[in-house]
Amino acid sequence: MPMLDRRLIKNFDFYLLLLVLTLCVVGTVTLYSATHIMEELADPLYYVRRQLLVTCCGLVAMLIVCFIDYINFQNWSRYLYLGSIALLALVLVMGSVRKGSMRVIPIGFFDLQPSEIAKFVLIVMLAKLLADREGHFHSLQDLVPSLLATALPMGLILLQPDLGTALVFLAILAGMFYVAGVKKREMLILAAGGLVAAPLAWFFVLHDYQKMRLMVFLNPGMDPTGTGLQLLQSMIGIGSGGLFGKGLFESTQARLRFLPEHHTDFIFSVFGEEMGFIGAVALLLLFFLLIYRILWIATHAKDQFGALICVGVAVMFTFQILVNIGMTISVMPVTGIPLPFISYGNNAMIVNLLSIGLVLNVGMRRHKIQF
Amino acid sequence: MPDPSVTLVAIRKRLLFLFFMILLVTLALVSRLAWIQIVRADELYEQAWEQWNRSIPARSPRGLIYDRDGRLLAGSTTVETIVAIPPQVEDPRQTARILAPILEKGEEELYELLTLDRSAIYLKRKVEAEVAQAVRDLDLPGIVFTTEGKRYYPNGTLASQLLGFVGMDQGWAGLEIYYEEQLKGREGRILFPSDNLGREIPHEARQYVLPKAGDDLYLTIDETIQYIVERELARSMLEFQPKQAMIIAANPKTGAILAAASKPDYDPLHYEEVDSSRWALAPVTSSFEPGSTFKLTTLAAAIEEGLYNKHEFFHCTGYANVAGHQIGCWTAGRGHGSITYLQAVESSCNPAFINLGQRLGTEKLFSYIHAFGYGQKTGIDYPGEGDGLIFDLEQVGPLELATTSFGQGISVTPLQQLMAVSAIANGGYLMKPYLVREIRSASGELIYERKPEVVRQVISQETARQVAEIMESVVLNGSAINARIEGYRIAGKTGTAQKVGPGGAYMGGEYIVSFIGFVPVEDPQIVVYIAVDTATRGAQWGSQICAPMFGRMMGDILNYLQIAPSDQSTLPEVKIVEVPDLHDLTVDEAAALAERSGLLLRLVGEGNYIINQTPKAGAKVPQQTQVVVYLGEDGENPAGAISLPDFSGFTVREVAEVLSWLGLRLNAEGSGIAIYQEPDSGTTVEPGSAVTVFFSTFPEP
Repeated sequence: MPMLDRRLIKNFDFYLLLLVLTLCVVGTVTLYSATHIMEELADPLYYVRRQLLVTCCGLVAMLIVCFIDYINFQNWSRYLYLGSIALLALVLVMGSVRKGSMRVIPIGFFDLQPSEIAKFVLIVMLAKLLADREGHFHSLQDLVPSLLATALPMGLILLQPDLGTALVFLAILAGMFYVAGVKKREMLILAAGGLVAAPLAWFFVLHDYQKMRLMVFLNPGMDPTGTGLQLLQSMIGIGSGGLFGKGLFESTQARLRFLPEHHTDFIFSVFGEEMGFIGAVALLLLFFLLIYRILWIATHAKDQFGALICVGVAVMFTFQILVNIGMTISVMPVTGIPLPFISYGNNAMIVNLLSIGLVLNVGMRRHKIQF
Repeated sequence: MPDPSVTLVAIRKRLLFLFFMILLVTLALVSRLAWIQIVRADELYEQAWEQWNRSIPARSPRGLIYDRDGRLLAGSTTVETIVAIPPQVEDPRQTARILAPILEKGEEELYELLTLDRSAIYLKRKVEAEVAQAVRDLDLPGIVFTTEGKRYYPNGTLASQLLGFVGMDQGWAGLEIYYEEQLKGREGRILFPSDNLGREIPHEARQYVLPKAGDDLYLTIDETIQYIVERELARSMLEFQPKQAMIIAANPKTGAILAAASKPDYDPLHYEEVDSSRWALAPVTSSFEPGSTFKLTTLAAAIEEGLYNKHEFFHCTGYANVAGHQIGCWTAGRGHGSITYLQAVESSCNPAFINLGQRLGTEKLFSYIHAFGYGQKTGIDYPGEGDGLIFDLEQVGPLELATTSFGQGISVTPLQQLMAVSAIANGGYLMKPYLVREIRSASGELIYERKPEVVRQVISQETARQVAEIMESVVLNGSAINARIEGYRIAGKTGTAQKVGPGGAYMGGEYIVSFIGFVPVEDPQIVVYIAVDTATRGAQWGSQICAPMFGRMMGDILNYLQIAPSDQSTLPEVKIVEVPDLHDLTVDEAAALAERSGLLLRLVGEGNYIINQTPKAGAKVPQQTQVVVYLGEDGENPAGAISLPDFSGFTVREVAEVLSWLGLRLNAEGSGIAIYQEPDSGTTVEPGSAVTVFFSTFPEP
C-alpha cells in the first residue's frame, strides 16, 4: 500500500489542483465583491460564508473521490444514473420554484439541484457507454444507448424548465461522441436532426421567457428593460472597466444595483469591471490552463473510460465558460449557466470539484499498475 | 478485440483537435473582450457614469455688467430653487399636501411632479429666502435645494434696452443675450451616486461641482451720460408726445458708445408686461429715412472731391427739375433765392445738395456713402443690428441720385449716421462702434480688452475739418441754432424725414425729426444723434424739437465731463430778437416764423390757430427763448366752459400763464416740469375753478 500510495501521489496532478484552488480563491474574492454591499443582507458575508463552506466540502469530496479508483465508477454508473434520474423526477414533483422554474429540492439549509448532479453523472454514464464500444460506431444504432441516456435527463430538465443546463448536456454528448470516435457522417446526421428539432422545440418546448431571451439576444435593443437591460448593463460594466479595471471591490454596476444576478450568472461582469481587460484575460488564461490540463490528463489516461471522463469534464467547463462569459459580453444568449468556480452556486461548486476529483483520479492512475 | 492503444492514439489526435477548438473559443472571447474593454471602453464608461450619477444643476451666478467707470448696471444674486428627486420622496401625497401652501402651488400639480419618472425635477424655481427656509425646516425626504442666479438692476429701467434682460435660464435680449457665453459662466452640479431606481445611495459622498461665475462686462456706457440722455428722452416723450424718441452718443475718436436709449422702454424685471418692440435699442436696430442729416455725407464727398466752394453762388427757386420731376425744397415753394453754398448748407437747401450730388455723379457719391458705412451693419456688439437700405448702383437713375443727395429714398440706422459723423469729427476715420470695453473674470482678471478699431479712412483730415466748420456755422447761423450752448463750439445738423409707410409711400403728417452733432468742434469729445418719431405736439421739425434737446442735454453732459468752455472771444453774442405776432396763424406758419427768429414754439390746447401767446409780440428776448402759444379754433374766445389742456412737460411759469389766460387758478405742487394734473386734460371746467398741477424736477425715467 505505501508503494501504491507513493506512486499515486507521484502521479497526482498538483498543477491541476493549484489551478482549481486559484480559481476558487478568485471566485470567493469576486463573490465577496459582488455581494458584500447587498443591503438586503443582514450578514454581508452570507454568500461568501456559504460558498466557502461548500468549497471546503467540495475539496474534501474531491480528495475522497481521488482515492476511489475511477474504474469503480464504471460499475456504479448505472446506479448513479438511475439515482440522478430519480432526483430529476422528484424535483418535478416536489421541487421548489426558483425564478419561474422548479430546479431545486430544499433539504434544510441546502437546496439540492439535481440538474447539476445529473451533469456529472451523465459524463460518467456516457464515458462508460462509449468506452464499452471501444471506438466501434458503425451505424446510428450504435449510438442509440448514449442518445437515450442523454435524452432522458435532458427531457426532465427541459420540463423544469431549464434550457441552459439541458444545452450543457448536448455539448457534453457532442464532445464525447467526437472524441470517442463517432464518424463525421453520424455526427452530421445527428446535427441535422437537431436542427430539424429546433423549430419544434421553439413551438412546443421553449417557454415564452426563453423565446424572449433568444429574440433579445438577436436584437438587444428590443427590450431595454428586461433581458436586454441585463445584457446592456453587463456590457456597460465590463466596458467601463477598461484596460486595467476599477480595482477590486470597486464595481459600481453591482453596487448601484444596475446589474441583476451579479453574484451568479453575471459575476463575470463584476470581475471584468473591477479587474479590467488584463484581469479578464488572466481569468480566461486560468480557465484555459485548467482545460488544457484536463485534456492533458485525457491524453495520458490509461483507458478510454478515463480519457472520456476527462473529455466530458473539459467540454462541460468549456461550454459553460463560453456561454456564461459570452452572455456577459453579448455574444451568447442569456441562458442562466453559471461560471465554473466563480459564480455563486452550492451544487455547481460541489459538482465541479467532484468532476475535477474524477479527472485527478484518472491522472493518478494513468499508468497501468505493475504488480 | 482491437488494440486499445491504437484507439487511444486515435483519441489523442481528436483530443488535439478538441484542444485547438477550445483555444479558438478562448481567443474569440479574448478578442471580444478587447473590443469591449479597450475599443469601446470610453463610450461604455460614459454610459455607465451617466447612469450612476444623478445630478441637479447648480447654476452659476451671472456675470455683472458695469459702466465704463465700474458703476454697477446689472447685478446678480443667488437664490434657491427647490428640487424634488421623485424616487427618494417617501410619501408623495403627504409631501404634496405639506408643500402646496408654502410653494403656492396646487396639491395635485405637486403630486404629479413628485411622482414623475424622473431623476430630478424643479418644484419651484428662484424662491424667496423665507420659502426656501420653510421648506428646509420640514426636512422632507427627496426634497433638495440648488442655487440659481437672479439678476437685479440697481438703476431700474436705466439702459434696459441696452442691457437686455434674462429669462429663467439665459439672456433673452440686448447685451445679456449677445454676451450670453461670457455672462453665463459654467453650470455646476450637485452629483449623487444613485442606484437603478434613482434612490440616493446612503453613505456615498455627494459631490459638489462648483459653478464658475460668469465673466463681468465693463461697458463703454457712462452711467451718468446715460441717465442724462434718458431723462431728456423722458422729457421729450412728455413734451412732444411722439411715438418714439431715441438718442445715441459716442466718443467720436474711438467709436465707444457712451449712451444709447429709446423711449418708450421697459422694466427688465417685468419685460413680459410690454410689447416686445420696446425691448429693442432703436438707435441700433431701427432704420429709417435720414432726411437732411444725411446731407453731411454729400457735403463731405463734394469737399473731398473739390466740388464745393462755399463762396460760390447758388440760386434756389424752391425746387429742382430732375428728369422731368420737380423736387421741392423744404421751404415749400418760396425758395432760398440767391445764396452762397455755405448759406445753402446752413439753410439745408435741397436743390443745392441735388446740384452737389449731380456734380459728384452716381458712382462717386455712392462710393462715399458706402465708405461712410451706410448700407451695411457696423458690427456693433449688440443683437439685431439694422443695416438700412441704400440703392444698388444699377437702380440709381437721375431721380434716385437727386433724392439720395439730400437724404431721401434711402434708409439708414442712427448708429450708422453716428459713426459717419464721428468720422467727420475725428479727422476722417470711420470707427467700429462698440459697447463692451473690457471683460473680466469674477476675480477681476482681465480676459478681453477692446481696442478702438478703424474701419477705414473715408475723407481727409482737411475735408473733415471743413465739414465740421460748416456744421458749426449751421449751429451758429442756420437750422440748428437751437442747439447752441453758451461757451461751447458746437457742430450740428438737423433733419426731418417723412415716414415711409408699409407700402413704400410717404405717410402724411408723420415725420421723424432728428439732430446730429458733436462738441467741442476744436477737439470733439462726444457725438450725439437724436431722433423723435412723429411728435404729436408742436412743429415736427428737427430744429424745433431735437436741436433744443441737444442743447439742454449737452449742457449737463459737458458739465459732467468737465469739458471747459471754449475761448469766449470766438463766440458770437447771443442775438436778441423780437417776438413776432403769432395771433391767428396756423401752427405751421407760426413754427416757420419762430424758426426764422431762432425762437422755440410751445403749444397748448387743441385747435388749428393760435389765439394767445407769451411772451407778447414785440417783446425783445434772446434767441432760443420759448414762446408758449394757446391754440383754438378761428375766432373762438376762451370764455364759458373750458376744456383743460394737457400741461405735461410745462414749467410752473408756463402753466400759470396759460391758466391765467383761461381764467383758472393754479395749485402748484412741487417744482420743475408738470408731470400730472388734476382734473385731467380734456375735462371741462368752469372759469374760476382751480387746477392742481404736480411738478417734478425731471420726469421719472
